[in-house]
Amino acid sequence: MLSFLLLCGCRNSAPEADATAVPSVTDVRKVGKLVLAEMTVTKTGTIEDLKYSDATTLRQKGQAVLNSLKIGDRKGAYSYDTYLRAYIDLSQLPDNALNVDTAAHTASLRLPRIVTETAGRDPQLREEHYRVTGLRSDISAAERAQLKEEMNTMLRTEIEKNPRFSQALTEKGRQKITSYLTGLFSDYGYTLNVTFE
Amino acid sequence: MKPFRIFGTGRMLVVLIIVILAAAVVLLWPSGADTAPMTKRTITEARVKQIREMVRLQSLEIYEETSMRDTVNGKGIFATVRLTGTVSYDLEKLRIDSIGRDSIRITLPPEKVELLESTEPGSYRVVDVWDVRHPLLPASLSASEENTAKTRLVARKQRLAYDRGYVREARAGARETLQKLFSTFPGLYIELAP
Repeated sequence: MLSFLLLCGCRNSAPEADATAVPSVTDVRKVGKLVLAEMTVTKTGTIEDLKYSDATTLRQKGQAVLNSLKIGDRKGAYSYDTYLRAYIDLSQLPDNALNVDTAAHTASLRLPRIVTETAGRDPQLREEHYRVTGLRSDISAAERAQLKEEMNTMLRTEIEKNPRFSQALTEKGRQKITSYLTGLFSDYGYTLNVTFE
Repeated sequence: MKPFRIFGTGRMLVVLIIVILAAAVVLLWPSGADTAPMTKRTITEARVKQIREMVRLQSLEIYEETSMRDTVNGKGIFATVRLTGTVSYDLEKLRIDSIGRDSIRITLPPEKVELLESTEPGSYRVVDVWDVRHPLLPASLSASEENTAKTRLVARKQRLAYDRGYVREARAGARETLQKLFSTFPGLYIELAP
């Protein structure tokens, strides 16, 4: 058996590959978004072996009994960032959004409302802590992916239920676009008044 | 007098075997809808790390469902990934030069091509991990090795955004939007630098 394994181990190792095997599905969309603020939200999660007191189902209890017989500990903590953005959809900007009084050197601009969206998350996971000792098996890539999936589900619910995320972003975006445009117009000697729908 | 012992070596072994058998029966018993995780997972509440202000014109969005097959330190990984990307321009770095009394020339700053993992459910699934040199042995890919594979995937997709002409398309879209925006200002002639 050992010699068979060694034989298998003697085959030429594949070079470090850097290619995708399955054709990709790609969708490209032209947009006109003015992004005004970005919020970085961190989520942290831990993985450890089940203890009997944590088990609720029969299978979990069985697993917990087996875990108690193994020597060592198995703990890992991971985190990652998700990005939320506040933006104005410029395609919603009406033709008469800007009114300029060239004589008085004043202007007024009515902007579409600021909306928020989840832009995406970091593909990489940060390993905050890792301690696997004794006869415990390593924390696998599949377990980390499953943890990330659960963290993501929880985050989506938190964002949906808690308006403080979108409110803080919208407020920052409102301040930013007002100061940016006011500064731009004042460079040309105009006083600008910005309002939102 | 013989000492009283509840667990002699023989009895201890018997108890151990019974416990293992009981656990095996529980684990192998048809469990139906029991999909409870076999590890304990604790997830903390979301924490706002930073809020950054910006004025960035985003002119193109990319959505890609792809697979990641890579080898890091002699260990292979195959996973499915959903990526979302954007091509954008920092308008605070926009160059505006006056040409004469009523004309301005606008030059777009360099683009920012950003690719992130989608937050849609199931956007990252690990299908297989293997040891390239010892295929019969179980393989374990560390988090940093997995991150290396992901970083390579993102870099490769960013290069593809240029090769496939997405960035060129995004620049044309951004120029068009800026032209429309600035032309709302009466009496101002706009020239956009290529």
